[in-house]
Amino acid sequence: MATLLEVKDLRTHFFTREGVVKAVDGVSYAIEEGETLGLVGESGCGKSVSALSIMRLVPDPPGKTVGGEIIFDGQDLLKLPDSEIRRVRGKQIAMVYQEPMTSLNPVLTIERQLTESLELHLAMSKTEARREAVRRLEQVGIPDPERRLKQYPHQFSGGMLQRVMIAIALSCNPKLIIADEPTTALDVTIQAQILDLMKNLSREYGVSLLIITHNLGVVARYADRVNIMYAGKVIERGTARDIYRHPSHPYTLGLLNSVPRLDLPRTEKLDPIEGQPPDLMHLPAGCAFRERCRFAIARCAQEIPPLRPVSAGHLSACFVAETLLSRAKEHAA
Amino acid sequence: MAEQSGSIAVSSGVPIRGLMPGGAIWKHISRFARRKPLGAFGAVIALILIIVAVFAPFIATHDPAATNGALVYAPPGSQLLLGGDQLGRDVFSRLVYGARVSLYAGLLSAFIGASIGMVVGVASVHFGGKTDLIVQRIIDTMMAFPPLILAITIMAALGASLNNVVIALTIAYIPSAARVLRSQALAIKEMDYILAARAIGASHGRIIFRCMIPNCLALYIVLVSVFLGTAIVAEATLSFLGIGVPPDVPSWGGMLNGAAQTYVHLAPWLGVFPGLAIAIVVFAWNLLGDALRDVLDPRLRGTW
Amino acid sequence: MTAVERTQREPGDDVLIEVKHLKMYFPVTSGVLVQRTVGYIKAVDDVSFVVRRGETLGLVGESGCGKTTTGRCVLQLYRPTAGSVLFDGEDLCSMNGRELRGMRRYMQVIFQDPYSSLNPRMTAGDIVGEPLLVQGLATDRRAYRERVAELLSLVGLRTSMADRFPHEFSGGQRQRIGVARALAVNPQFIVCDEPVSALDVSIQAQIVNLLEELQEKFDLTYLFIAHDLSVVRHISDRVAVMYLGHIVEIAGRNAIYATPLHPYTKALLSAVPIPDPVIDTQRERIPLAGEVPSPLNPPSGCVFHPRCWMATAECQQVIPELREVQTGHFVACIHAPGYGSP
Repeated sequence: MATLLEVKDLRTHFFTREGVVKAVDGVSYAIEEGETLGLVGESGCGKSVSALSIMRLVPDPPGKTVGGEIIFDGQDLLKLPDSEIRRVRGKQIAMVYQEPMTSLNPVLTIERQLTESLELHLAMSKTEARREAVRRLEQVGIPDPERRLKQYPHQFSGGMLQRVMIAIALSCNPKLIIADEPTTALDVTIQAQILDLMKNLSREYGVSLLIITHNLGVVARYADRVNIMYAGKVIERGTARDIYRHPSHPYTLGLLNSVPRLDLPRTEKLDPIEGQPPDLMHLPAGCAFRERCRFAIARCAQEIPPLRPVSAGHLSACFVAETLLSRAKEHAA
Repeated sequence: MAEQSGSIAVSSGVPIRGLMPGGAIWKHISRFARRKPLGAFGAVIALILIIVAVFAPFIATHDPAATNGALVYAPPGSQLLLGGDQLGRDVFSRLVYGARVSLYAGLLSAFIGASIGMVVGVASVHFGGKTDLIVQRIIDTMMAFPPLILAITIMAALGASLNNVVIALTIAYIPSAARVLRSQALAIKEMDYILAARAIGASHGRIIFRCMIPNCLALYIVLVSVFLGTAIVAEATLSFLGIGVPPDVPSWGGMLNGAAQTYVHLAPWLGVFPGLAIAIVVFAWNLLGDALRDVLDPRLRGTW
Repeated sequence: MTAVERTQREPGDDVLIEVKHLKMYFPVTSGVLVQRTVGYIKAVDDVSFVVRRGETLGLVGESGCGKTTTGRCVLQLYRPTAGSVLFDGEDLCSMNGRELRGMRRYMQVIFQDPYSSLNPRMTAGDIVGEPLLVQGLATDRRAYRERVAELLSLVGLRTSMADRFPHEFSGGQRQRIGVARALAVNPQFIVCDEPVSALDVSIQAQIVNLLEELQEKFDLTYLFIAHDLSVVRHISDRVAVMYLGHIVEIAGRNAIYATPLHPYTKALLSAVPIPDPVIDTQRERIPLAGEVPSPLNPPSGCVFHPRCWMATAECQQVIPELREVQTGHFVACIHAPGYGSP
């Protein structure tokens, strides 16, 4: 498999009056062709900002990508002129957002919003675009597409709108779809439908998927590989199996332990990660997770642990990763 | 994040309620001046104007009502600082005395009108249902009249005097203030903290005055600054029409509207100076209002 | 008397809250000057349940099922269209505003959104202390201040944080302030309306643990409203499942998760993702066809029948009542084992 997108040492900072917020600080990851990559982390960890940086949609000011490279299809997106990045957006990389209701224009019909990018990027005629729009709606499982095209966003339910968003994202045959919390606003029974749909379409058309979420459960079934982010950095990376079965960073372990699970017997007490996420403006020296970490050692206060391999394809940014890994393997066995 | 930036903000923010220790006032004022120089500039101008209005007899160089045939249309300069008008009265002294009338009518009607309007708008939203419907129809009816026409009607009924000008303008501002603040109140009403206040058993008064109105203050301050400018001009118009302040009492509006319009080509200073005075007051208040809005917003504490 | 009233409340039960045939219809109006009612959104339609003293009743369902409205009706933040809510035997629905304000000493609420539920213009101390002032529970300034400090430390905040404004706190800390406000009056009963769903995963567990500790300490009774079935299983003693304004199943925690009887409960449970790729892929999902119908025009008969894979012609006609099919396990489905003839 060839690498489709490679983010190298990306740094996106926000320059506010109170100081510099290092929202994304030295993040690297790659997406293979046809792969589904999960990007997991809590609010403020930089997962969405890193995706917006790929699209060059970080609001500037105050945001600025101050370093790194984003190699997509052989060219550095950060170096492209504005006119060319617009041709990449929507056409080669499409986005699906958390709130379908606010991402669509309420005063335009679904047809108008679907055909717009077809006419713009693929230079289709009106009738061609219309035919294509009907086909796309069928593809995402919207019944009676001819009639639905004439309707406005408020006439759709949340799940149906998210399907429309996926149809729009697919309309120009992109190579990569970035889905930013695509199911967070949806009900649990609809979430599975939407994720199944995205996964199936990705398989069918060989589109790569970058799924950004705060919910570890959401991507377990769908992601080939998962990146866990904390305080602007990727702190663990591996296959879904590695991450969920053998977590080797205390934060990943903490996240997995803090959610009650329906498939396990009920515990008396939940096991939360203590404390609060750090202030990105005043990050402590050393590891950003240190203050909440049960495994912290003296070294954690002095150096920032680098992301390094602990087994094949499994990386962790923790000095005691090996201990955690062997513990997890013991536990599993 | 809040953990750390919070403590910084708290130690240096302006306490909005409670007593400030004596020395702290100066510290806060100097901090305000450093962080909001434009606001401080506005505050200084506003303060100067108030001083001018209060101490008018000491500042004025002439009797503002005294006519002098020799000084009719005297240009600004050595004889009269800002020139003389069509009756030979000193423009500077009239401006100084005019500050009293204009500030009195402008500030009072803008503040009272916006305040009553705010309470009406917010209460109407809070009670909702039929109350809201009836209040809104009354406001619609009042808004069908342009504010000035409304004020003229009221003045005609009350008779010409400075206080009646204030009453008329206040009434004229209530409907638009109520309408504007109603929209804000509608958004606030949907917030959970209003529901939380009801859930602890808070009275209607408490919900309106403690929960809703403090969250309308930003819009209120903007509204007052808009009203202040129009009030000074409206007072002028009423005076010009002969139903406001009597023509011999100096007011900025009266000066601008009177001879200035007819003789502006002969004696431009008749219009320029009162016009400048009005512009400066409105400008200064806008600067001050902008700064106050930020300072009074706890969310912006630590950032200004 | 329906089956619910007869059996949900057993002799010797210490029932704190009893909800009977609760209905909340929101009128849909049209017209500008003269508003006509053109229909009703039946947000809550004939719901009955009891909450026993000291227990946690979980109320789960998807968005728009009426669970939040039910919670607000129980507290009389919305005055219900019909039905009654008995608090320790007294009917809240027949009380006037003044009497209700007095009752607020005994029942409180914690909201979902830690951002909109705190007044941005009040300090944390004022927010927590306000119920004391409103209910006249602080005898003097010192007692007031001490109580506010006590409340803040109860929920794990430093007392020095009392002077800060809500925006200076993180989401989890703000939710703690909300909890302290609810505790201020020493209530017996708290409606927790999705108290953790707006919080980060690592913080959710902190708040759930806090709520459990407080329950133990003060012998609190909770109505815990949530859409997250795993959190509800953790915290609840009994669980009620709502769909389109109706309760479709109530049972003890273990019974409902181990042997769900209503098809909707089954589908809901099967959709919960498990954070383990191996287990999650092996689990069988019950896909639900279509979407939740509009509460403006709910389907005839059983409201779930258009999406139900077990539905028969009968389901379109008969509104199934909630019946006890096993001890303490109530279900509203004519196809449930042991339901009997409709």
